[in-house]
Amino acid sequence: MTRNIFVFGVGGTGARVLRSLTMLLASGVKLSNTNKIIPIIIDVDAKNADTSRTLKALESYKLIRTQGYGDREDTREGFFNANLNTLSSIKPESGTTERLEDSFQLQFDNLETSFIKYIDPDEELVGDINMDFLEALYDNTPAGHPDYSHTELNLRLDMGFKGNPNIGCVVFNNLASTKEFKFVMKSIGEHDRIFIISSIFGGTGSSGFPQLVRLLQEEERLRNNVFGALTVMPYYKVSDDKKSAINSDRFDSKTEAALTYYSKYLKGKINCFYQLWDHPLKQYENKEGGEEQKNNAHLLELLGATAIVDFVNRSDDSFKSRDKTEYYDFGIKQEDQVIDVRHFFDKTRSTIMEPLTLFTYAKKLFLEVLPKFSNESFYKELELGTRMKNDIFFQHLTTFFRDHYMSWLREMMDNERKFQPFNVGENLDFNSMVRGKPIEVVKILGIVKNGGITESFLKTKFGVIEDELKKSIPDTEKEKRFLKLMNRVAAECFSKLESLPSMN
Amino acid sequence: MFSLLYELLGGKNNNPVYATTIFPAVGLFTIILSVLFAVIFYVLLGRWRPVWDKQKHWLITMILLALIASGLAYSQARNGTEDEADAYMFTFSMINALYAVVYFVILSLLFKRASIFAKRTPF
Repeated sequence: MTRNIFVFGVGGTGARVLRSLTMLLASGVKLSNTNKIIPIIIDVDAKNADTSRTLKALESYKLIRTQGYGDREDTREGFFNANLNTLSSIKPESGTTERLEDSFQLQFDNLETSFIKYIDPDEELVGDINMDFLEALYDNTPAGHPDYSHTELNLRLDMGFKGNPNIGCVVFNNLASTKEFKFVMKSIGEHDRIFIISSIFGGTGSSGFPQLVRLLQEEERLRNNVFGALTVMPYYKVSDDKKSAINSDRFDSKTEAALTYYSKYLKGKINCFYQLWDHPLKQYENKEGGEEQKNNAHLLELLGATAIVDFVNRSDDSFKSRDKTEYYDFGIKQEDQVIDVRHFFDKTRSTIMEPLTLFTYAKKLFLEVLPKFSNESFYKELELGTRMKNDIFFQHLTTFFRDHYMSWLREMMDNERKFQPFNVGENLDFNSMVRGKPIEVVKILGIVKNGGITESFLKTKFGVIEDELKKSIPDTEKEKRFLKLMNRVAAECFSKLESLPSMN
Repeated sequence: MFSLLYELLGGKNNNPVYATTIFPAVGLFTIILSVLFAVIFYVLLGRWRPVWDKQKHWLITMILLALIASGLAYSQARNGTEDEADAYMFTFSMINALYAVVYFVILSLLFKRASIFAKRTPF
């Protein structure tokens, strides 16, 4: 039985974990019994750079997948095989004439204002006792004070909740009235699964998560669906800035308060609860939101994405009832500042790291090797000369490999703790790409007997595999043939490596 | 048939041994040679590894074939007629080289489909 998976990414961390999930699915990580993955980003900070680049990666993925495989759901192997799609691609069982924007983001209405104007747009509460109550509940530093614009009642909502869950929960209450959310409620089928990603130490995620669970489970029809959640606890700090509303010294206390709340009010509502944390080693620049909030990708976000893969691949009978919520952590073999493939246990190595290795080979093949092979027959057969320049599929593939995937990988390499599974310098050869396991070049009397992954090896494999694929995939589906070709050649490179490095 | 082809470009020779023995033998061997070259280029090398599959390789192969075809025609003419070398023999060897090139081009169009690495050679 196949099903759809609805993955809600709440706030900046939600968007960043979805960015990692996009990379994993692009690499061909396998999902069992799944029709569509529907990522839904919920972030009130409309200009948040983390959210924007996740959206761009998702849109690129969707285009590559659609051009490569069409809207088929039976493609189960290879790069970009998972049908990652927008909410508007779902046809609700109950039928609706509502048309949605083809977007991965769920939009709130009327947030281009301050919190006080949001809850009292017509200033009806001025002088009212309820206003006194609001002023007692929320910080209301008077106008003219240097901190005025950062204080709770005067906070601009379209910049996010800046670590204020007490504001977030008020705004999230109105989520149910948006047409997108109503569409979500109608779209979730009986056997579909729901997964919610949030951070616990900020504003949007920590307030949005419990509200979202409540709103979804208010619907009688959804009470038997399987719910999973990932809560990310503090894993970075921000620099001290008195002008900023965000202060990382409060992350731990906020986490504790939120966990206490969750243990009480989310009891019996979630089947699988994944929790992640790390010693906050990295201090990011203190940016309150908007275009400036662009935190580098982090290993923890990748591990968060593996939680979604684990949740999706579980069989129905492996879930216990919601009143027996199962909790999961993620562990590595050894504490280190620099993490690579060897630090993971076998399951993660085979389900996650192996596809990522293939995709990294493919990235190198696509960006560095293919341009040198323009005289080869497979290149001409696939009309890559003109298509690379003019075809939207190849343009997006270039963008995905160069801008989305490489940036993501490099950011994790530079972050702390560092995640450095591959040597990705442009002049490095294929044989030394996987960190911790170079492919040995075998020479006898100075003559190369086995050169590992050489240019000649790659030319041969590209030619032979394209010739083979041509017999089963017609010229009308050259995009699909190209994706399969890249996957097969990357697999041949992996066969030279034999296996991923391991830790003894 | 071969007599017709050779006499079309080189004219008729008074020595009947050309029409009865030399033209058919040289013509047949030239075709076999061209097929052999095309098979080696497109099927053996063209499916083995991408080492001899580009346009320049195809040109070199064709020139080599033309030289061999020319030498074959010349030696067959000398041996067949047992005469001293003359202008007709030289013309005949050139015509045979030309036919070898023509056969190879036609065979290339047929055999390139069977190749992996030379599928798009020469065009």
